[in-house]
Amino acid sequence: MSCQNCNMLDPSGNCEIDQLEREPGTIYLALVGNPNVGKSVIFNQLTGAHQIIGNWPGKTAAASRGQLKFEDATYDFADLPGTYSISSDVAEERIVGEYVAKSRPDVVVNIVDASFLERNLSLTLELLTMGMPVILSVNLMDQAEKGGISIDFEELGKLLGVTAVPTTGLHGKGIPEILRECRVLAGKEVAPVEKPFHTPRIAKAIMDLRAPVEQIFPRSPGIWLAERLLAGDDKLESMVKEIDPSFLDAVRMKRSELEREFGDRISSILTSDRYAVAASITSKTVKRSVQTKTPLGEKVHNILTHRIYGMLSIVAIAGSSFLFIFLVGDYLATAMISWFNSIQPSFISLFSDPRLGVFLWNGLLGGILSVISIALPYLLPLFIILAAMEDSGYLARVAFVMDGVLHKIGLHGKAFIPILLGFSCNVPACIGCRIMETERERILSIFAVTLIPCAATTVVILGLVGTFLGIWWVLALYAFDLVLLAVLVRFAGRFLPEKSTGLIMEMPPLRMPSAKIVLRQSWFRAKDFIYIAIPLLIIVGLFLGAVQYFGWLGAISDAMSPVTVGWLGLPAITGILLIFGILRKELTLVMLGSIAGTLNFASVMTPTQMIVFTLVVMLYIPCVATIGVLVREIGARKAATITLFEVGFAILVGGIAFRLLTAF
Amino acid sequence: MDKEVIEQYLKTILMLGEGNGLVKTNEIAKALGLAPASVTESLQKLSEEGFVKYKAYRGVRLTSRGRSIASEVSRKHRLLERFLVDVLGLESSKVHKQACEMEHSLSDEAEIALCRMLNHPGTCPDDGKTIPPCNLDVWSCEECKKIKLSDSENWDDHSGLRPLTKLGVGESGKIHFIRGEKKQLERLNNIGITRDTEIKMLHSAPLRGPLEISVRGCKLCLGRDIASNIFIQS
Repeated sequence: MSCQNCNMLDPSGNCEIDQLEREPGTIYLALVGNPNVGKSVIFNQLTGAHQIIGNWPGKTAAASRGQLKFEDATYDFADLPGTYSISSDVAEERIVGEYVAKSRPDVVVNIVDASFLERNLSLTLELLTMGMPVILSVNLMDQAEKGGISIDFEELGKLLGVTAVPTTGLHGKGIPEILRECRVLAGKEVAPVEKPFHTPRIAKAIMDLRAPVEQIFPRSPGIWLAERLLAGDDKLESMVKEIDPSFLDAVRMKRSELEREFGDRISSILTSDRYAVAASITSKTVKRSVQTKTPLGEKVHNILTHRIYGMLSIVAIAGSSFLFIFLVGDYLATAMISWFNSIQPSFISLFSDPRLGVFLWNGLLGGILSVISIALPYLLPLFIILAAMEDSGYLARVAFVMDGVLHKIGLHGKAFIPILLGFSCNVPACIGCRIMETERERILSIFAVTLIPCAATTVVILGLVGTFLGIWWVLALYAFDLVLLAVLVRFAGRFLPEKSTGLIMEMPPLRMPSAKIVLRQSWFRAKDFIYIAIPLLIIVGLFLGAVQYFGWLGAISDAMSPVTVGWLGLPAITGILLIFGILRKELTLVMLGSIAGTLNFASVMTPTQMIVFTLVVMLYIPCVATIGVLVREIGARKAATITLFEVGFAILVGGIAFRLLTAF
Repeated sequence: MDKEVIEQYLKTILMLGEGNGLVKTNEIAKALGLAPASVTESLQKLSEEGFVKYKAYRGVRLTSRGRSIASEVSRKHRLLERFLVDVLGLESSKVHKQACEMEHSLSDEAEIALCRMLNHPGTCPDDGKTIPPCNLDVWSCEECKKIKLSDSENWDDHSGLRPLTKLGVGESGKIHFIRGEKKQLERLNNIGITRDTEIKMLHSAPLRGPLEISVRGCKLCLGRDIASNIFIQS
């Protein structure tokens, strides 16, 4: 019945999935632990990989592998997503248990947060019951020591029957010890646990089932399977039913006996009881020195999550961040643009045919230059601020405070983070939507992000409406856009059937951000952006350059005039502007200036036309780089749907606005 | 108006208005299979009786009195569905109509007994919707199990029990029981929110946002709908 390799968890013998291809002499390790305990930090330390790190739970979405040579042994690591339990019926939490059971690593490195040992140990107890060879890495020791926590590692190891090593992942402390212990353990045969990690009443119930279970599955750890069977594991039950139906009845009797006695569901009884054991081990091994005064972090946390001060601090912090980003970005961008403009004539004069020079400048270099001069100056400071907010744990507080507001339009508090990002650039914001828990919420927040006017759109709004109609019209347009966003997202939510799951989120500790992590993180994000944006901008730039080169501008504008002139009431040249705007939205304004031959836009557009034109630019299409990232993040079909919808919607709203504005 | 008709209307309005509460006359007419004109007439009567607020052309909204009757009826309805499926073994797709007819004649005593016999179910079988808590609301399931039907007047005395959402900032208590469907219960259990655990309210986010609590030395955020199903003994 059960097979040689994966007899532990899955007695069905279904073992072809995920078997590790083993190199002889390599030690295979799996990093397992609760979310946000620093698994990825340790993984990066070990392998030099660039796993995304952040001070919030749920970054690592899938297992990643890496290798390391240390003291003439080769180690292979798998960094697994954080999990609270491996025996759960909840699908997302099963992945880790199944990976561990099927790939059978030589050692499971169970990483636990030293400050929250009680909560973390529940998973450890499960791993041990499963018969896994475990090394306990008691991580984040630096923070625990600061919090006045001291741990008796010898006693902890003895109570659990494992080696417990204190570690501080960020500084690599304790990592060599972990590796040496793993090497020792890898060669050994692990004796299965002899008694369940439960209080006497429950332990007895499990032990009563052990012998018959071991008869049915002789190769598997009896206590583990007995506990799973008692918990009502569907797969296990149906297997037992085939072999010994009367035993299954006995198990069910025992289950309902316990449920009656404890007045609760069996899964809750077992989990509660395991936690009771974890609590008792913790109380025997952890000493907390009483802290007389509230630590500073605690005080700041209280302000940031306060009903009123929390909101105010978001406004203050977001406001000053944007001011900083715009000041730094504007300074850098202006400096670079004027430099590029100064070399443009000499570049063009290199070619005998100036039209070819213009074509190459706009097409080939235009994309790269626009990334360097427009996007990066705004993005780099933004990425740095964001990474600092992330690493300090502030973003989780923002999500907490904003949850109530965003629920009104069918989103989670966490969506506030990417939406905020969207004001600078939609591309990283769409990537940032990965933090959302469900597919539905991710798609909804990506949609919301594409409706946010980015920095380039802001150039158009300020340059056209701001300069010629005044700040009130600018604010009105922003307000109108946010209202539209709320309505559209709520409306879109109706098309995505499943309901959102309630928020259950760990509040990560508040700490000083580490400069090393912040800079690395910002750099990886910037690189991600460059890789997506530059190729797209070059391709589309070349195409548009060709259009200009062959003098098709007028023809295209004429072809679009039924929409631009007839429906939107705009001057005919706007047709080609809107096409160029796909590349970069601020190009619409830049090109308007060059085609009209004047920067006094009031001479080419009436106030109504300015408002309609700006509205259309705000809404009409995510730019090429955003479309690229949409395709990567949500697939071509959904990306096309969003793009086409927004083009149609912008034309619709623009036309209505034109009629309303001319009617009064 | 007939009691049964009133209950049927209120239940329908509750069901249709699950979002913001405002329900259009046409929706009700469609759901009940009646002509809009006669629905309008009935709604005006219900409005006079104080069960609903009716605004011409905009629709109706339940008053708090109407809402409590409606959730009582839909609770009976869903309990009956569970009974028909779990105990009598009827197919879950066929019980809705049957339950619709039985719900109006089920007495409150029978409802409590049914709830206890079914082991305090959390959701109904055909659509997985949550069964509204009984009107002994806060001190429901757990207490209900311990107290005999005969001394049902003692319920009001068990005021030590309240949902987590009613805990003030800085207050703490022990988790007495958690209601809800299996998956969510497991998520809570796994993260360390289990019975008899000490729990402390730290912060409450504005605009009916989530709560921040501390349990087993860690800080967690819980959505308000989840927190309202966790009952605390202070």
